[in-house]
Amino acid sequence: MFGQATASLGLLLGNPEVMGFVLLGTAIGLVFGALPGLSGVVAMSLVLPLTFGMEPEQAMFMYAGIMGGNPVGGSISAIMINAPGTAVNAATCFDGYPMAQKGEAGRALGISATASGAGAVFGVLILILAFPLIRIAVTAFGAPETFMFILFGLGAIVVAAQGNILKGLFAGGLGIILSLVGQSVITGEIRYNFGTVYLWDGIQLIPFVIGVFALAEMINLTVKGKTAVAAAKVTGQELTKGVGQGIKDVFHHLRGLLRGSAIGTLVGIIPGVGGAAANFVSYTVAMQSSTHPETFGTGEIEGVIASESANNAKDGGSLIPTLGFGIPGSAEMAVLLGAFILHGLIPGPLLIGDHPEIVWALIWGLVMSNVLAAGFVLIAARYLCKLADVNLAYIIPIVVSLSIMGAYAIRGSFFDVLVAVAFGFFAFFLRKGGFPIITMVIGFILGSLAEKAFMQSLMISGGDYSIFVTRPISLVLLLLLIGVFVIPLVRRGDGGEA
Amino acid sequence: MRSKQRILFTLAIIIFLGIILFQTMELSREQSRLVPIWVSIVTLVLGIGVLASDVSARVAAFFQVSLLGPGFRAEKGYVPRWSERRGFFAISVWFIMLMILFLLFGFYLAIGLCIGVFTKVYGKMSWAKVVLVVGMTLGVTYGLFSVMMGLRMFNGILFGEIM
Repeated sequence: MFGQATASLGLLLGNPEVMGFVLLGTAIGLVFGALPGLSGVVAMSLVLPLTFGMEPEQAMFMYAGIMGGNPVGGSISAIMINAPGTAVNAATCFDGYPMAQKGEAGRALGISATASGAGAVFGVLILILAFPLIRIAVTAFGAPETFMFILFGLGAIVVAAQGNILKGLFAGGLGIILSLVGQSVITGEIRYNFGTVYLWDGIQLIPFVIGVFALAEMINLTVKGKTAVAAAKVTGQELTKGVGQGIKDVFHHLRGLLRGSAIGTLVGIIPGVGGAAANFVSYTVAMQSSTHPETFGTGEIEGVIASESANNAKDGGSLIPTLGFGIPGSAEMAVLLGAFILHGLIPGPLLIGDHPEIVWALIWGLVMSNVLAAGFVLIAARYLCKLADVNLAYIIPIVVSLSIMGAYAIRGSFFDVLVAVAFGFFAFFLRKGGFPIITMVIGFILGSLAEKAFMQSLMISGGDYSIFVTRPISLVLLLLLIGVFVIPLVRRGDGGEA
Repeated sequence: MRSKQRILFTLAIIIFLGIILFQTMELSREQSRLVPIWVSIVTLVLGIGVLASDVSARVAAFFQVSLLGPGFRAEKGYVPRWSERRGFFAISVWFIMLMILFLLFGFYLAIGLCIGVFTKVYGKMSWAKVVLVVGMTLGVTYGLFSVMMGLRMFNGILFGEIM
């Protein structure tokens, strides 16, 4: 496993083509991060079909580039124009923008870039340290445990997805049902094809993901109208001045950096919670544990460190359930799982052992992209922040064209395009109705895997359902699943609002 | 979404789930039926719960929970403004036009025409900018998909393409 680490690092550093993929991914991530409304998940959905012809390892370097570059790009618009490029940077606005208003934009960017890079390295280190534990856990996992873990993952995602628990579960169930369309993984019998040959192979992942993430977002942006953001008046001198001081600031607040990184990694591990929660939780904890909480929101250095270290550390954390168990930790990870499937890799317990090159490509890609993105931000922030001012009428047609072409590209089927558009509108309505999209996507990705694990479990037990409660790990996972739903209700009973 | 629209939307999904359940019953092998039956029944029951929470604010409040506690709440009830409804109508018509043109004339012509309409009508751009955006989009997609990936494009049924 660790021998592969040096091989993958050698490939990254010694092969300009591979480095080019990381660089390209980082640039895409930065641009999509800096543009409010677009996000890493939209970028990854669009890139999905483009990586089809690549070697899996190369594709992973590119995805890692996007994942690493995206939150860093988002911090630019958060600091410069008070409009977070992505949800994971929302808390950066609280103190980053006041710093820019006070003429300390360069310092804020220096803090953000350094904290992001350090947070990412921390998250990745935890991921590497978790490998032995994951391997032990994986060997103890059979079909019943896998099934229970999928249920637990879905449950955690539903509860963490902020909102009506029923709507979350309903969307998850809907995703599972959509994944069952086409040939049964067990019997080969065709299900729910509504008389069409097209649905024999089921609903295709790429059109689905493109529709649900990219097209739905474009429909949403069109409906909402053009962006109107007010940029802070920042001079070129202010951008370059104080960058070095910002870098030093991070190392003067090592405790805050470590706390933010640890919170980000931990939140990332919880399936479905993602970076949007990580940066808020980290910011809140930093404020509550500060001796001068009243300064938060007025340009407090610790606030920027807390938010930025957490939102980049969460990637390493999210990769733990994604790589170890095939349970995506966030929307980006759901698309990444789609990329695994596209490249013939089976997400789940065997991936780490069978394909260490994929794991290390993601790890080194993440580290390298964070370093590149941080450097790029410090050099080109003044140009990148102008992206946030770009008229949506320029962006929407390009993204829609790429989406439609991407949906068409894999199989050359017009029906795939129709599926993408249909799911774009469906996801738009779901969002407006308060249904969390992420649970539907994860249900869709894990549905057939869950069915297979469930049926295999019953085959092992001769049709006895008690197999799910008589095996210790399976039982623990079931109890955790129950706990996930009960804890918020108990907390509410204590007087806290859940 | 208004409450009435939300109820109608949930109802439509419930009806779809009913159809799925009905089709599941007709599957010939038990192993093909087992998981879909469980999932569709549970999802249908949840759908009824969702409907109840759409109708009753009290039910909705009861199921409003989060692992993260206060501060992480659900989307508030969404009421579309008139301009948003107009925007939705416009983008729907635009997508239908894009699909029809794609089918008839193929990818590049459809994309070119539709982006032209979008940038002129929605973006209110000058003709020079319209030409620039159309050219840029076609250039990017052609470069990525036709040149880099070597894909053969859909040429449209009017140009001899067979579905």
